[in-house]
Amino acid sequence: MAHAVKEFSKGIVKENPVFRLMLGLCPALATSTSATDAIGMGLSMTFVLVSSNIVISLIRNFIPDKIRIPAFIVVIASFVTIVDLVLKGFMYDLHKSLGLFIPLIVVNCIILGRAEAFASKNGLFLSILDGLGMGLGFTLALLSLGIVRELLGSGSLFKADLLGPAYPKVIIFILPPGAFITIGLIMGLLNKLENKGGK
Amino acid sequence: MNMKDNSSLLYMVLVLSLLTLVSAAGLSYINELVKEPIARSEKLERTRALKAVLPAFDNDPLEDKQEIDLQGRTVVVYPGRKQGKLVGLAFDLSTKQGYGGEIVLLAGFLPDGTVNGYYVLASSETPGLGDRMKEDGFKQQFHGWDLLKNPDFKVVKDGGKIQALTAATITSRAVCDAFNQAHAVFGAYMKQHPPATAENNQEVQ
Repeated sequence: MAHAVKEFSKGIVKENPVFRLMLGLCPALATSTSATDAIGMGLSMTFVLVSSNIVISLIRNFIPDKIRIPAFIVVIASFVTIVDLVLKGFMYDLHKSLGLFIPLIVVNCIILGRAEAFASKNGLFLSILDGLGMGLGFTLALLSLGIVRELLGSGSLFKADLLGPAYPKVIIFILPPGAFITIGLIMGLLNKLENKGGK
Repeated sequence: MNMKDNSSLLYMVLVLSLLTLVSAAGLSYINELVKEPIARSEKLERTRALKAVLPAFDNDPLEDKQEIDLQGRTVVVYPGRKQGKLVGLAFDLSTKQGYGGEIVLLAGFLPDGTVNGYYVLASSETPGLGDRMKEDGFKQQFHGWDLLKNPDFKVVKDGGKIQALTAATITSRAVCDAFNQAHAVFGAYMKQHPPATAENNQEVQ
């Protein structure tokens, strides 16, 4: 059981895909301009991670090693298309603001990475936990980026105006440089906290 | 049973074909399932847009849409009518000059050629900068513009009258660029569907 807990929690803190493994930075930076978009992207990603981990773990013994990458991509692309269609049908506004980044999940290295490094070598249960942990880790990372950037850059949170019209919006936090600054600061903070705990 | 090391051509072809077959079947099933919700949300979005850019109407502009021919290109025009009388018309204007690529607007006009507003249907402008083209402050400048008298939309920097958004001149120019096609569409519509005959048709029905 301790093993299972570890597989789940590693994605959230110790091997957080964004802050620790530095994977999937492109969608992480591009869709964290607001907290709402960040959660939408994070949860879409979690769904694809868990679903593709499930399928790949189930069929892992039938896939010849030589064609495993195209096989994984077919599985991942199918789930991404499902997310894209469902979001378009039921959450039109979110789909509109995430735009191209949903189809781009297909080529996201976190998902192929988990398929290759974990789901193709482990059983169903552990693969689900791994996908869930990594997905939540990604979501939390995006959410923390999104909260900081939306608050500083637009003075709002979840599209609700918090700081009022008098607040001087620091536009740079909405732009790509602000994404890099924020991610750097959060990473530094995490490293500092970890070093303290270690001593 | 472990087939991981089986790399005979036949087996590999079989596995990939099977996988893509299952995937295609599953996706076409889901596509059928969400077809209706997608059509519904697209219609909802367009209705929202039409309400924003047309004066009060009591017909269904989506149902009454008319196609016009503009130099071989088909443009769909949504007429807004109240008690059978044309009160405004709306059509898509698009441009590829945006900072983030294509911008698609739904623009509304009164029958006398006055701009009645626009609604952004699709865009990927920078949030907080170009994206502010969706805000009233910028939109207001187009409202009440006499299209027939002044078919040219330009930002102040280019010698025009539209105040560009701060730090988003490219987006502002793109909106002007989209609006610059409006005169041709509007003129073609009035020629191909003169309001007088449109009203006569209504009476015949």
